[in-house]
Amino acid sequence: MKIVFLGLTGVHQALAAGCYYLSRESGENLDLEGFADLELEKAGFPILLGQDRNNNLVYALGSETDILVLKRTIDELAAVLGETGELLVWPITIPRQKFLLWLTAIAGFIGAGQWYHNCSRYIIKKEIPLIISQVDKYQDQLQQN
Amino acid sequence: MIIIYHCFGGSHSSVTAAAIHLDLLSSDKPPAKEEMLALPYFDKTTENDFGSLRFMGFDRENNAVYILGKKSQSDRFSNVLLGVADLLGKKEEVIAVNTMGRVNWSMKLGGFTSRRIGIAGMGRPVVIEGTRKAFWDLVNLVEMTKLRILNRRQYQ
Repeated sequence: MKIVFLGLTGVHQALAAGCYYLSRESGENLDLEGFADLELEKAGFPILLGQDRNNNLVYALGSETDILVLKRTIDELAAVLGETGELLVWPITIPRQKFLLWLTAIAGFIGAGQWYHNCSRYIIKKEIPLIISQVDKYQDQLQQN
Repeated sequence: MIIIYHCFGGSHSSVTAAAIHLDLLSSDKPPAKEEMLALPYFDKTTENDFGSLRFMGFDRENNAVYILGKKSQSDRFSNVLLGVADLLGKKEEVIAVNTMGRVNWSMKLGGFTSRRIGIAGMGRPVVIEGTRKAFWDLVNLVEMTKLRILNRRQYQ
Protein backbone atom coordinates (compact mmCIF):
# COMPACT_ATOMS: atom_id res chain seq x y z
CA MET A 1 0.00 0.00 0.00
CA LYS A 2 1.04 3.59 -0.55
CA ILE A 3 0.27 6.54 1.69
CA VAL A 4 0.06 10.06 0.28
CA PHE A 5 0.06 13.08 2.58
CA LEU A 6 -1.78 15.79 0.73
CA GLY A 7 -1.40 19.52 1.41
CA LEU A 8 -1.98 22.68 -0.58
CA THR A 9 1.74 22.47 -1.20
CA GLY A 10 3.66 19.22 -1.10
CA VAL A 11 6.85 20.62 0.38
CA HIS A 12 5.48 22.11 3.59
CA GLN A 13 2.85 20.61 5.88
CA ALA A 14 2.40 17.45 3.78
CA LEU A 15 6.12 16.79 3.83
CA ALA A 16 6.43 17.58 7.55
CA ALA A 17 3.48 15.27 8.29
CA GLY A 18 4.96 12.43 6.24
CA CYS A 19 8.35 12.80 7.91
CA TYR A 20 6.72 12.83 11.35
CA TYR A 21 4.72 9.72 10.45
CA LEU A 22 7.91 7.93 9.42
CA SER A 23 10.21 9.01 12.21
CA ARG A 24 7.83 9.81 15.08
CA GLU A 25 9.98 12.82 15.73
CA SER A 26 8.41 16.26 15.50
CA GLY A 27 11.39 17.52 13.50
CA GLU A 28 10.87 20.99 14.87
CA ASN A 29 14.05 22.33 13.30
CA LEU A 30 12.48 21.31 9.96
CA ASP A 31 15.81 20.22 8.60
CA LEU A 32 13.96 17.84 6.30
CA GLU A 33 15.10 16.81 2.85
CA GLY A 34 12.91 18.52 0.26
CA PHE A 35 11.39 21.01 2.70
CA ALA A 36 10.44 24.24 0.85
CA ASP A 37 12.08 22.89 -2.30
CA LEU A 38 10.47 24.92 -5.07
CA GLU A 39 11.65 22.65 -7.88
CA LEU A 40 10.04 19.62 -6.27
CA GLU A 41 6.84 21.58 -5.81
CA LYS A 42 6.79 22.84 -9.39
CA ALA A 43 7.33 19.35 -10.82
CA GLY A 44 4.03 18.15 -9.38
CA PHE A 45 5.00 14.52 -8.89
CA PRO A 46 4.42 12.82 -5.53
CA ILE A 47 7.56 13.16 -3.38
CA LEU A 48 8.83 9.88 -1.96
CA LEU A 49 9.65 10.27 1.73
CA GLY A 50 10.42 6.71 2.75
CA GLN A 51 8.95 3.43 3.88
CA ASP A 52 7.07 2.84 7.12
CA ARG A 53 7.47 -0.20 9.36
CA ASN A 54 4.74 -2.04 7.46
CA ASN A 55 6.62 -1.51 4.19
CA ASN A 56 4.14 1.10 2.95
CA LEU A 57 5.77 3.73 0.76
CA VAL A 58 5.04 7.24 2.02
CA TYR A 59 4.71 10.30 -0.24
CA ALA A 60 3.89 14.01 -0.01
CA LEU A 61 1.93 15.86 -2.68
CA GLY A 62 0.61 19.40 -3.18
CA SER A 63 -2.84 20.14 -4.58
CA GLU A 64 -2.37 23.89 -5.31
CA THR A 65 -6.06 24.72 -4.94
CA ASP A 66 -8.61 22.63 -3.14
CA ILE A 67 -7.16 19.66 -1.25
CA LEU A 68 -10.43 17.74 -1.25
CA VAL A 69 -10.88 18.23 -5.00
CA LEU A 70 -7.53 16.55 -5.65
CA LYS A 71 -8.29 13.83 -3.10
CA ARG A 72 -11.47 13.04 -5.00
CA THR A 73 -9.55 12.92 -8.30
CA ILE A 74 -6.93 10.58 -6.86
CA ASP A 75 -9.55 8.26 -5.34
CA GLU A 76 -11.53 8.16 -8.59
CA LEU A 77 -8.40 7.63 -10.70
CA ALA A 78 -7.45 4.68 -8.49
CA ALA A 79 -10.96 3.27 -8.94
CA VAL A 80 -10.86 3.74 -12.73
CA LEU A 81 -7.49 1.98 -12.84
CA GLY A 82 -8.90 -0.84 -10.73
CA GLU A 83 -6.57 -0.20 -7.81
CA THR A 84 -8.96 0.85 -5.04
CA GLY A 85 -7.42 0.30 -1.63
CA GLU A 86 -3.85 0.52 -2.93
CA LEU A 87 -3.59 4.20 -2.08
CA LEU A 88 -4.39 6.01 1.15
CA VAL A 89 -4.71 9.77 0.76
CA TRP A 90 -4.43 11.72 3.99
CA PRO A 91 -5.18 15.47 3.67
CA ILE A 92 -3.24 17.71 6.05
CA THR A 93 -4.70 21.17 6.53
CA ILE A 94 -3.31 24.11 8.52
CA PRO A 95 -4.71 27.64 8.95
CA ARG A 96 -1.86 29.39 7.11
CA GLN A 97 -1.77 27.06 4.11
CA LYS A 98 -3.04 29.66 1.64
CA PHE A 99 -0.39 32.10 2.76
CA LEU A 100 2.23 29.42 2.14
CA LEU A 101 0.77 28.84 -1.30
CA TRP A 102 1.04 32.55 -2.10
CA LEU A 103 4.61 32.61 -0.83
CA THR A 104 5.36 29.67 -3.11
CA ALA A 105 3.79 31.47 -6.07
CA ILE A 106 5.82 34.62 -5.33
CA ALA A 107 8.99 32.55 -4.94
CA GLY A 108 8.23 31.07 -8.35
CA PHE A 109 8.46 34.56 -9.84
CA ILE A 110 11.28 36.18 -7.91
CA GLY A 111 13.23 33.10 -6.93
CA ALA A 112 13.23 31.01 -3.79
CA GLY A 113 16.09 32.24 -1.68
CA GLN A 114 16.76 31.88 2.02
CA TRP A 115 13.80 34.17 2.72
CA TYR A 116 11.39 31.58 1.33
CA HIS A 117 12.92 28.79 3.36
CA ASN A 118 12.92 30.88 6.54
CA CYS A 119 9.30 32.04 6.10
CA SER A 120 8.18 28.48 5.37
CA ARG A 121 10.02 27.17 8.43
CA TYR A 122 8.60 29.90 10.67
CA ILE A 123 5.03 29.12 9.59
CA ILE A 124 5.26 25.34 9.73
CA LYS A 125 7.02 25.44 13.10
CA LYS A 126 3.96 27.13 14.56
CA GLU A 127 1.70 24.46 13.06
CA ILE A 128 3.66 21.39 14.17
CA PRO A 129 1.24 20.42 17.00
CA LEU A 130 -1.72 20.58 14.60
CA ILE A 131 0.12 18.54 11.97
CA ILE A 132 1.08 15.93 14.56
CA SER A 133 -2.48 15.65 15.82
CA GLN A 134 -3.77 15.00 12.29
CA VAL A 135 -1.11 12.36 11.60
CA ASP A 136 -1.85 10.63 14.92
CA LYS A 137 -5.55 10.55 14.08
CA TYR A 138 -4.91 8.94 10.69
CA GLN A 139 -2.52 6.45 12.23
CA ASP A 140 -5.12 5.45 14.82
CA GLN A 141 -7.64 4.90 12.04
CA LEU A 142 -5.13 2.79 10.11
CA GLN A 143 -4.41 0.63 13.16
CA GLN A 144 -8.13 0.15 13.83
CA ASN A 145 -8.63 -1.12 10.29
CA MET B 1 -5.51 3.12 -21.84
CA ILE B 2 -7.40 6.04 -20.34
CA ILE B 3 -7.27 9.57 -21.72
CA ILE B 4 -8.11 12.45 -19.39
CA TYR B 5 -8.84 15.88 -20.88
CA HIS B 6 -8.73 18.45 -18.10
CA CYS B 7 -9.56 22.16 -17.85
CA PHE B 8 -10.74 24.59 -15.18
CA GLY B 9 -14.37 23.54 -14.90
CA GLY B 10 -14.56 20.39 -17.00
CA SER B 11 -17.40 22.03 -18.84
CA HIS B 12 -16.27 23.52 -22.16
CA SER B 13 -12.77 23.01 -23.62
CA SER B 14 -12.23 19.53 -22.14
CA VAL B 15 -15.73 18.43 -23.17
CA THR B 16 -15.23 19.75 -26.70
CA ALA B 17 -11.80 18.11 -27.04
CA ALA B 18 -13.14 14.80 -25.74
CA ALA B 19 -16.10 15.05 -28.12
CA ILE B 20 -13.75 15.63 -31.09
CA HIS B 21 -11.63 12.69 -29.92
CA LEU B 22 -14.71 10.45 -29.76
CA ASP B 23 -16.11 11.68 -33.10
CA LEU B 24 -19.14 13.07 -31.32
CA LEU B 25 -18.18 16.27 -33.13
CA SER B 26 -16.86 16.31 -36.66
CA SER B 27 -13.29 17.61 -36.90
CA ASP B 28 -14.00 19.07 -40.35
CA LYS B 29 -16.01 22.13 -39.34
CA PRO B 30 -16.78 24.08 -36.19
CA PRO B 31 -19.91 22.70 -34.52
CA ALA B 32 -23.25 24.45 -34.47
CA LYS B 33 -24.65 25.72 -31.19
CA GLU B 34 -27.17 22.86 -31.06
CA GLU B 35 -24.44 20.25 -31.54
CA MET B 36 -22.46 21.68 -28.65
CA LEU B 37 -25.42 21.88 -26.31
CA ALA B 38 -26.29 18.27 -27.13
CA LEU B 39 -22.90 17.08 -25.81
CA PRO B 40 -22.90 15.43 -22.42
CA TYR B 41 -21.64 17.82 -19.70
CA PHE B 42 -21.25 20.82 -22.06
CA ASP B 43 -21.98 23.92 -19.96
CA LYS B 44 -23.82 21.76 -17.45
CA THR B 45 -21.38 21.17 -14.63
CA THR B 46 -21.81 22.38 -11.07
CA GLU B 47 -19.47 23.13 -8.15
CA ASN B 48 -19.84 19.50 -7.01
CA ASP B 49 -18.28 18.18 -10.22
CA PHE B 50 -14.81 19.62 -9.53
CA GLY B 51 -12.22 16.87 -9.24
CA SER B 52 -14.56 14.19 -10.51
CA LEU B 53 -13.52 12.03 -13.46
CA ARG B 54 -16.45 11.91 -15.85
CA PHE B 55 -16.62 9.26 -18.51
CA MET B 56 -17.30 10.49 -22.06
CA GLY B 57 -16.97 7.24 -24.00
CA PHE B 58 -14.63 4.77 -25.70
CA ASP B 59 -12.70 5.80 -28.81
CA ARG B 60 -12.09 3.64 -31.90
CA GLU B 61 -9.08 1.98 -30.25
CA ASN B 62 -11.16 1.22 -27.16
CA ASN B 63 -9.39 3.82 -25.00
CA ALA B 64 -11.63 5.24 -22.30
CA VAL B 65 -11.96 9.02 -22.55
CA TYR B 66 -12.66 11.10 -19.44
CA ILE B 67 -13.00 14.78 -18.67
CA LEU B 68 -12.05 16.53 -15.47
CA GLY B 69 -12.50 19.98 -13.92
CA LYS B 70 -9.39 20.75 -11.89
CA LYS B 71 -10.10 24.32 -10.70
CA SER B 72 -7.09 26.63 -11.05
CA GLN B 73 -4.39 23.98 -10.80
CA SER B 74 -1.52 24.84 -13.11
CA ASP B 75 0.25 22.96 -15.89
CA ARG B 76 1.77 20.62 -13.33
CA PHE B 77 -1.62 18.91 -12.93
CA SER B 78 -0.84 16.44 -15.73
CA ASN B 79 2.26 15.43 -13.76
CA VAL B 80 0.13 15.00 -10.65
CA LEU B 81 -2.14 12.58 -12.50
CA LEU B 82 0.77 10.71 -14.08
CA GLY B 83 2.56 10.60 -10.72
CA VAL B 84 -0.47 9.08 -9.03
CA ALA B 85 -0.87 6.57 -11.87
CA ASP B 86 2.81 5.71 -11.43
CA LEU B 87 2.25 5.01 -7.71
CA LEU B 88 -0.42 2.55 -8.78
CA GLY B 89 1.93 0.95 -11.32
CA LYS B 90 -0.21 2.14 -14.22
CA LYS B 91 1.67 5.14 -15.58
CA GLU B 92 1.69 3.71 -19.09
CA GLU B 93 -2.08 3.43 -19.07
CA VAL B 94 -2.82 7.11 -18.51
CA ILE B 95 -2.52 10.09 -20.84
CA ALA B 96 -3.42 13.45 -19.31
CA VAL B 97 -4.16 16.37 -21.62
CA ASN B 98 -4.40 19.96 -20.44
CA THR B 99 -6.85 21.86 -22.66
CA MET B 100 -6.39 25.22 -20.86
CA GLY B 101 -3.75 26.37 -23.37
CA ARG B 102 -6.46 26.39 -26.05
CA VAL B 103 -8.97 28.42 -24.05
CA ASN B 104 -9.59 31.99 -25.27
CA TRP B 105 -10.97 34.99 -23.38
CA SER B 106 -14.51 34.49 -24.70
CA MET B 107 -14.54 30.99 -23.24
CA LYS B 108 -13.18 32.24 -19.92
CA LEU B 109 -15.63 35.10 -19.67
CA GLY B 110 -18.63 33.14 -20.94
CA GLY B 111 -17.79 30.11 -18.83
CA PHE B 112 -17.41 32.24 -15.71
CA THR B 113 -20.72 34.00 -16.33
CA SER B 114 -22.61 30.82 -17.13
CA ARG B 115 -21.15 28.39 -14.58
CA ARG B 116 -19.76 30.46 -11.72
CA ILE B 117 -22.22 33.35 -11.60
CA GLY B 118 -25.02 31.14 -12.89
CA ILE B 119 -26.35 33.44 -15.64
CA ALA B 120 -26.41 30.86 -18.42
CA GLY B 121 -28.59 33.04 -20.66
CA MET B 122 -25.83 35.64 -20.80
CA GLY B 123 -22.70 33.48 -20.59
CA ARG B 124 -23.70 30.57 -22.82
CA PRO B 125 -23.76 32.45 -26.19
CA VAL B 126 -20.34 33.93 -25.37
CA VAL B 127 -18.80 30.60 -24.40
CA ILE B 128 -20.29 28.90 -27.47
CA GLU B 129 -18.82 31.56 -29.76
CA GLY B 130 -15.49 31.25 -27.95
CA THR B 131 -15.54 27.48 -28.33
CA ARG B 132 -16.21 27.82 -32.05
CA LYS B 133 -13.22 30.18 -32.32
CA ALA B 134 -11.01 27.74 -30.39
CA PHE B 135 -12.28 24.75 -32.36
CA TRP B 136 -9.29 24.31 -34.69
CA ASP B 137 -6.86 24.62 -31.80
CA LEU B 138 -8.78 21.90 -29.99
CA VAL B 139 -8.76 19.71 -33.12
CA ASN B 140 -5.00 20.17 -33.26
CA LEU B 141 -4.67 19.20 -29.58
CA VAL B 142 -6.73 16.05 -30.15
CA GLU B 143 -4.62 15.09 -33.17
CA MET B 144 -1.48 15.51 -31.06
CA THR B 145 -3.04 13.40 -28.34
CA LYS B 146 -3.85 10.63 -30.81
CA LEU B 147 -0.21 10.68 -31.93
CA ARG B 148 0.86 10.36 -28.29
CA ILE B 149 -1.40 7.33 -27.95
CA LEU B 150 0.12 5.79 -31.09
CA ASN B 151 3.64 6.42 -29.80
CA ARG B 152 2.77 4.94 -26.42
CA ARG B 153 1.33 1.83 -28.05
CA GLN B 154 4.46 1.36 -30.20
CA TYR B 155 6.67 1.27 -27.11
CA GLN B 156 4.43 -1.05 -25.11
